[in-house]
Amino acid sequence: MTPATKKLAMVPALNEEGSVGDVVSELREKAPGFDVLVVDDGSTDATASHARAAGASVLSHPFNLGIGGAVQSGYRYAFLNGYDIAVQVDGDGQHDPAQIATLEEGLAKSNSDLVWGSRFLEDAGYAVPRLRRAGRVIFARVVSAITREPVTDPTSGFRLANRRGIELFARDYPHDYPEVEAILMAHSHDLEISEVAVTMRQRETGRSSINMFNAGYYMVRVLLAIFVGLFRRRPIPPAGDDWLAASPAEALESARR
Amino acid sequence: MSFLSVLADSGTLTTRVQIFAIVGSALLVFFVLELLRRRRLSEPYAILWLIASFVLLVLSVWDDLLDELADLVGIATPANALFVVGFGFILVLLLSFSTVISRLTRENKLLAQEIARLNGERDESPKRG
Repeated sequence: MTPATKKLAMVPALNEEGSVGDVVSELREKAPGFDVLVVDDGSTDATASHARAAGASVLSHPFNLGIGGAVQSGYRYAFLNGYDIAVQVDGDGQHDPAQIATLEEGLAKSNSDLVWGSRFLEDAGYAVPRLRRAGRVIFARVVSAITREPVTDPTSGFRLANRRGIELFARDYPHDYPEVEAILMAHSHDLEISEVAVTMRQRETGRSSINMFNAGYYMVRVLLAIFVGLFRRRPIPPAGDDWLAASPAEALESARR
Repeated sequence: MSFLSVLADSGTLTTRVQIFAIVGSALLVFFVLELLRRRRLSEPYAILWLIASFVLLVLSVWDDLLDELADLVGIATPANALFVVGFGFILVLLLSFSTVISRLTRENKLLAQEIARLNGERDESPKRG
């Protein structure tokens, strides 16, 4: 018998005590092959205990690292524990665990290393605030142009990666507004990427990490990161930072790649 | 008014000062972008530096604007206005570094406390094997 595919659902959560328990229970019910990991990114409420009570493994950061740090903690966990598949699911309940299967199918069918769920591949008439829509359209155009793939929802946080994707993101993941950059990173490392049509729900609780106030800053930051990224051959972190590499030989090898 | 007034010299910066200021601030812009590209600098800090160096570049290229700024604030020599702007940015950057260092100190303390707690748990748990 071949060993079963190890699958992990990662839920980054910051002060989501109102919804994280339901998200975990629903994941265990509707995505039965998946272990559930909640990355509590320095919450000051009962997020960690609610997640644990619902049956998830929990990583608690001693302070807030930001969404990029939380997601990367998940990928490190997946890498170090030998998972073959890892899916990111938001802690606010907007991603439907039943649709993880859709992402898995998409990964297999397109032979990709990283897929993400797009709300806009099929027009379901989502009411998206105008500012968010404008940002998404700009990022979608830029990402499509760089990757030469039709991309409609590059800021989607509902994404699934195979072992190659897990390994890349465990080594290196963008910091504060990571979604768009992560796609471009995967692309520049010759990983196959593609988009899968999904439906999403309205948020149960909590607010978007992108509000009116910092939307402009967000645009500038991400566009700057994209622009500078274009001039890197491969955005590999320096070997010294790579404490995932178990031996000097491995560190050397990762520095050479 | 004249955007590229390097040789036209419509403002009151002398050509030599202006060339020096332009080359200096352009080098700074380039150097910040290069550090960013090599990942020696991360975006939030890079953005502060880029704004500072870009404003200095604009003011040294477009010296009419610098004249107006000097006039507005009451500085007799426009070249000094360039110094004042640069000095202002240095103050902002230093202050932001102080806040970052404060944050890092706090986080570092928390990490040490967490490690101490974990070490304590490990040492107190019954020994295996």
